[in-house]
Amino acid sequence: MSAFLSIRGLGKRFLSRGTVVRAIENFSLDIEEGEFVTIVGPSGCGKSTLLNILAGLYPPSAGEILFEGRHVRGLNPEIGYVTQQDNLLPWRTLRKNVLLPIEFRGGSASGGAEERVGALIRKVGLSGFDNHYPHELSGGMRQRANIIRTLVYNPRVILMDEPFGPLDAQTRLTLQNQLLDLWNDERKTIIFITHDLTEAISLADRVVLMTGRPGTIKSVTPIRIPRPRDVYHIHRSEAYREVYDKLWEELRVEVARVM
Amino acid sequence: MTQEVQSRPPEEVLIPAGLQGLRLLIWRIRRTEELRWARVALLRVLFGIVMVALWEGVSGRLIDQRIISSPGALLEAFLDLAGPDNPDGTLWTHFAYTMENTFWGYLAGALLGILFGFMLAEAEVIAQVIEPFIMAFNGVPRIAYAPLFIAWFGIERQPKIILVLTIVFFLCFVSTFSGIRSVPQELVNVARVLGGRKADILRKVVLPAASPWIFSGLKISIPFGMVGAIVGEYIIADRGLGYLLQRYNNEYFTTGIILVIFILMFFVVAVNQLLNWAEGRMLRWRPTGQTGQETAIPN
Ligand SMILES: Nc1ncnc2c1ncn2[C@@H]1O[C@H](COP(=O)(O)OP(=O)(O)OP(=O)(O)O)[C@@H](O)[C@H]1O
Ligand SMILES: [Mg+2]
Repeated sequence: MSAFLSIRGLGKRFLSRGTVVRAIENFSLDIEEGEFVTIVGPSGCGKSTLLNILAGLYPPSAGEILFEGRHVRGLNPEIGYVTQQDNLLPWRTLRKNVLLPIEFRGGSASGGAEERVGALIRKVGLSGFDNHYPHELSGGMRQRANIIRTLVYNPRVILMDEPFGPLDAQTRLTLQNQLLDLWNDERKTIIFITHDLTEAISLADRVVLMTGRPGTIKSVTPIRIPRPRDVYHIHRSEAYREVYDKLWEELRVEVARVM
Repeated sequence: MTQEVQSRPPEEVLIPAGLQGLRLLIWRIRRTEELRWARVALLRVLFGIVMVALWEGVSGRLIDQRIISSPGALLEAFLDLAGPDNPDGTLWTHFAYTMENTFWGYLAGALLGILFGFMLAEAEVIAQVIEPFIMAFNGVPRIAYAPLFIAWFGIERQPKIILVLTIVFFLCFVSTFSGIRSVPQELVNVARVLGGRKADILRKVVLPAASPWIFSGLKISIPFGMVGAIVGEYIIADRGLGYLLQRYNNEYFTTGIILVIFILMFFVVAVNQLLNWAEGRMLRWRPTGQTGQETAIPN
């Protein structure tokens, strides 16, 4: 009996300018359905590479991925990917951008699509901006659009690569809060990369800490802070501080090793 | 349009009621962008008039009229050429001939260029193989091919159309090709993850992303294409603006040459204006400042 999503012995090497870069090595993790896993690690340790492989954009050099016990090769339609850059299509309005996956998946005929898009836009506070082009939106708004574009077609797993990275602290907290609400409603399986330890702890069921390159798992830490969590005040809780100190100590060693 | 708009004009009302309305109107206009634009337009017209007046004044007094002609002589030549009794057709005949050749060459060249641009952008290896050949062919000034085309296709329309076609083809080909090559891979990847198949991605991601490049290719092709038609006629023809140029040149008829140049100018400016407008509409999604840039008119 295997887990919902099982990553086994994953490795990735790149050949770059005649030298082999070992980005990831022997990365194994079992993830349950509906789980919220965050991944932290030093810059360049292969986090984005891991998500690209999970999304099926390129194949691993070693190891395998099992989804509900089945091998996955190439793109998996059950997996959504919120990339670090918003990658909205600049010639489409917000609404049309969010509709894109539905058009691709041949669901535009079903009347429910428009309503679902409208509901999501409202939910993340973008009402009134439906017909704006991406360049007319702020960074935070674009990132929200990017996220609901993935939510709209209901993939069972969502990969997120530092989705709130470039945002200011307040916007970040607001979006974290919204994301937790959304996750609470829909209970997707989420794999979320961040370089912000607080963010990793606030959101996660488990925090995965990666070593410096070649990236592999250094520790997996369950977060037992009860839900629903208050992202604005989580730093006051004792449980939070304990975990934070432990993780920071581990991460510090890895960062020092790389830099 | 970020202008503070006062709700009423300043209250120094010692003006008769009739003038009051006019004053209000002027006050309104002054607060809008239109006035700025109108002023530029007005100054442009003034500039044009001053230049023409200078030209008329200088011509025949400071500089020989046979060298620089004059606006009056130009108008006379225009009316004469536009009139009915001309041995080899009126101005309209010549204009239409050139434009028809340009049009057909442009149409075929643009379609083929865009099509090939798409196909080669997708076919990495073939593109690499034939690239130097294409560059070599394109690198030679097109006029060098003209005699060859005449030998192959005769002295009627065909060689002129072909000349236009080859010029437009390359411009559109290169711009389409590089447009597609410059489509960010991340956008394509995201579209794949979102469930797009190849044809969907081509239509909904690649084509729109490349459209600014394709558009600029289409735009610069117009004047260059016309050059092809005119060069073709200049070499051998019994009609067309290029033929007129060549005949006037033999007759040392400066006024006629300048007249043809002016006709070409008006045409190119008008078409460019039209394309800018169309581009602005089609690429409305681009941040302002990027739409409808003027394309330099090559000489
Ligand atoms: N396409 C590629 N070709 C060659 N090397 C690559 C490629 N993609 C990634 N790498 C290398 O793999 C390593 C991991 O890159 P990756 O982008 O996964 O890091 P990351 O953990 O996401 O870093 P960051 O936190 O800075 O985003 C880096 O050393 C990078 O140079
Ligand atoms: Mg990264």
